[in-house]
Amino acid sequence: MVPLLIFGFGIGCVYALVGAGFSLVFKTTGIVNFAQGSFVTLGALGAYAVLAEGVPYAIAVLAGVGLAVAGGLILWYVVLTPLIMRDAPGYAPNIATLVYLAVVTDLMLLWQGANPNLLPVWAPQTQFHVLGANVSIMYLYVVLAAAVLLGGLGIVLRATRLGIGMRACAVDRETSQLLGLSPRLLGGMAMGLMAGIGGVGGVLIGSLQYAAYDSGVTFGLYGFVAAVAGGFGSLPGAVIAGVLLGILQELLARYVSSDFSDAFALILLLCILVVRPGGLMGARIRFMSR
Amino acid sequence: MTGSTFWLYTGCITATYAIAIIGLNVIAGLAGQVNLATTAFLAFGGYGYAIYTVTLHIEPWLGLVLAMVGAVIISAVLGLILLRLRGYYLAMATFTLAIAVASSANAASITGGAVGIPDIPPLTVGPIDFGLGSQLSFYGLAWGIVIVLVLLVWLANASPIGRAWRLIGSREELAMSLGVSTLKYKVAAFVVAGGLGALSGAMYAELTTYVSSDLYSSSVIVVFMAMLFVGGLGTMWGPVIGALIVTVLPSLIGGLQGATLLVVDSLFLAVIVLFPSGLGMAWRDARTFRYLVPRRLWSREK
Amino acid sequence: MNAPYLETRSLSKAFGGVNALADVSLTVDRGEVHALIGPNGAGKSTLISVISGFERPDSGDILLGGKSVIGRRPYDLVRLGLARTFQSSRPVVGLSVLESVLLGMHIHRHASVLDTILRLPAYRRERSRQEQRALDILRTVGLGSRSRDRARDLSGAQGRSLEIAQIVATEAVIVLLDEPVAGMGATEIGLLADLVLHLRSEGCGILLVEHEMGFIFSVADRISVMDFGRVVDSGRPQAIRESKVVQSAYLGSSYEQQGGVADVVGGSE
Repeated sequence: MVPLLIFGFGIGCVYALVGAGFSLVFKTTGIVNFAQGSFVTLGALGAYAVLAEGVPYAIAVLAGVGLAVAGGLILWYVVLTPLIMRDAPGYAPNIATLVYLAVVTDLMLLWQGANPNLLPVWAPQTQFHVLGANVSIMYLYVVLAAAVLLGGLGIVLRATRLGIGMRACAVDRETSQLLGLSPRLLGGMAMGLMAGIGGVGGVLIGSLQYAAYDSGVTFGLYGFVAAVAGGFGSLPGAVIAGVLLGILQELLARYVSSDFSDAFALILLLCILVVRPGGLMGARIRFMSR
Repeated sequence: MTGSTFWLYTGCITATYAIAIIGLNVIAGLAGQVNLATTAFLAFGGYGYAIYTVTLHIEPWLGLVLAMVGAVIISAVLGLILLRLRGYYLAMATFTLAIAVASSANAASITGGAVGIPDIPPLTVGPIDFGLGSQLSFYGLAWGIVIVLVLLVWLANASPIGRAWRLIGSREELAMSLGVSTLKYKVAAFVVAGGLGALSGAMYAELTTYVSSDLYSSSVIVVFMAMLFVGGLGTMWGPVIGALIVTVLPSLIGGLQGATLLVVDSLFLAVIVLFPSGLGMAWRDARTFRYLVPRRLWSREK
Repeated sequence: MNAPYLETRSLSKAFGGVNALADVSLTVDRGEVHALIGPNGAGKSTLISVISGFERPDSGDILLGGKSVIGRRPYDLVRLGLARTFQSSRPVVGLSVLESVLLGMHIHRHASVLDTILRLPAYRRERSRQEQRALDILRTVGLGSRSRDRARDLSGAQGRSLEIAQIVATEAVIVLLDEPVAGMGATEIGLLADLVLHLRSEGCGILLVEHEMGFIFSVADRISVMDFGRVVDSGRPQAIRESKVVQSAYLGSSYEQQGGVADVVGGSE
């Protein structure tokens, strides 16, 4: 039971990182970035590929995260900015991010092949004993790293000019523009920042689970689920929902059915969504009001 | 495959896809409800047809009808529950539904698990065989259905029903305040999408004689959304144009081996960025090409 | 039938501890314009949302034509003769002016789905009858010559007239107007006042939420004043103009010393 909770917590932290990315990018830009999960792949596989060239671990990690950030910036400036400029109709920007995810996935397949890779562990690989079970200490590191990242993000949002600008944008894009904040710049910052955080998530999870060219799809899905279940746009909501989702998946896989664990987790979330359309943390959405 | 059989086969696939996209266009393009669950209904159709014909040995045409009826009932029930959600919540719920269906299909024994169900018998109606051996009849059937559907959607779109859908898509509150039973109309559109999705899924299974869960994976959702958007959301011929481009393009740029997928997906992305209204409405987007050049134009942002 | 057509009884509604509506009871009868004024956030728009079925009240009752309609969906209320407008009006993209009015006749369509899609005679007869009536309505609201134009090409004031035309098309008995003259000039306000009075003469009862005092005093038969979710005063326009309660609630105590509402209320701005 306890190891399960710890595994779940570790995976859940990565969902939380991706979910936070969905939330922050949506709040700042108004776009649901379905490609958020691709940053996890870019981080993990980028680090792996560079490491394979024989460079030191720290530099490989930086390269992976850098690749994720580059992926985020390209998405923002090359794909989304032109669409927003042209008042693209309906859901075009959101669908563009979905196709961008497919492009990144194809690119990873071409570059790294279909075989999943595992990053070597980046810290002394010790086991610790919890209630008679061995747990890799890596999980603890992952949780700690995620906590530090999310805490840091919270501080950035509260205390820096950039963060305050993003929050202002989140509250009212039009007014913040009149106040001299550039939505383009802030959107790029938010996207780059959250791509970087997603990349770190990839590096973290990359040494616990095999990462393949299409891992980003799964992490994107669960991150999205976490973001929505937590009340779309709510950062703490996304984090809590992400962690809960990770734990829930592990428990379902162990105690109900490992084959159906994904389906059960998803259906349970569907039910939550139908009963509480505003998400777990969100206020109850007023009936039919915008 | 010789050249002409290959193109005949591609034509069959195009028409089969187009049927699902026409349905998706009704809910997403006309009624404005983001529905990412198309693959779930393709799966209901495909697996339904496969289970009825292979496992239960039911006559293929009856299996096709039963699969569609089943999908219509399921989509009506799901629609009544899910379509109370709006915007991103609906997107997430339908996406979740699609993934849950695919991952259940991958795990359940009735759907053949990860292997799927092979050897699906051909559809025969009287003396006409619509199976793999006689693609010409399948081709005729599929494109006949596509043309009838485009015509029906065009008629519905120009009627008060289509106006009500578009009103819901652009101003749902106004629709309600003018007496449009919004849930009923949204569910109707969802059922159209579900029924046609199932038809498409069953026909695809019939054509390829095989179903498995990776036909309904999340990357297929992307392909279907790409078809809808490349063709043009809410346009009458857009779904057919989109299906045509998405199926034919990979064959045209063959010879790239592994890079084909990358090139195709990149081209989709380029089309969406250059023509966000879809190729069916390319003339409309051509007017805003100048905004592609980054300048101090952000003031246009709303 | 002597009872007023629309009656709210002790409606209350709270959003997260804030009382948006507290014990609101008011009536609107056929052939009457009942104006609702009060500072921003007084609960006027919430009241409109609650009456039109977009929000559910926490307690209280709403009677429409003598029947309780609590919990009814907005589109069911339209069939019982209730119509409303919205503060922000955006025309529906891709529809002509005439088609926009036809939207308002949605509940009066009886042709079957098959008739409608295949354009069988039953549908065509109904359609031409409705188009004729829509043209009549457009002439009444002064848009007779614009019927073929795209709805989004209309000016703001014409857009408002189109909304009124849609409401006439629903054959509503009670009409809720949410700030209909916001952002309009004097001439346009005059035209809209004529339209409101026309609706009244046709036997409609109108509940009007508005800030524009000149407009209110030119059409209202009765005025209720809301503040902090309560109706603080209600009466004939003249009485409201002189009410001390209203002056403090609506204009703040500082205005009281400066000669009262009459000065402010008299002009149009």
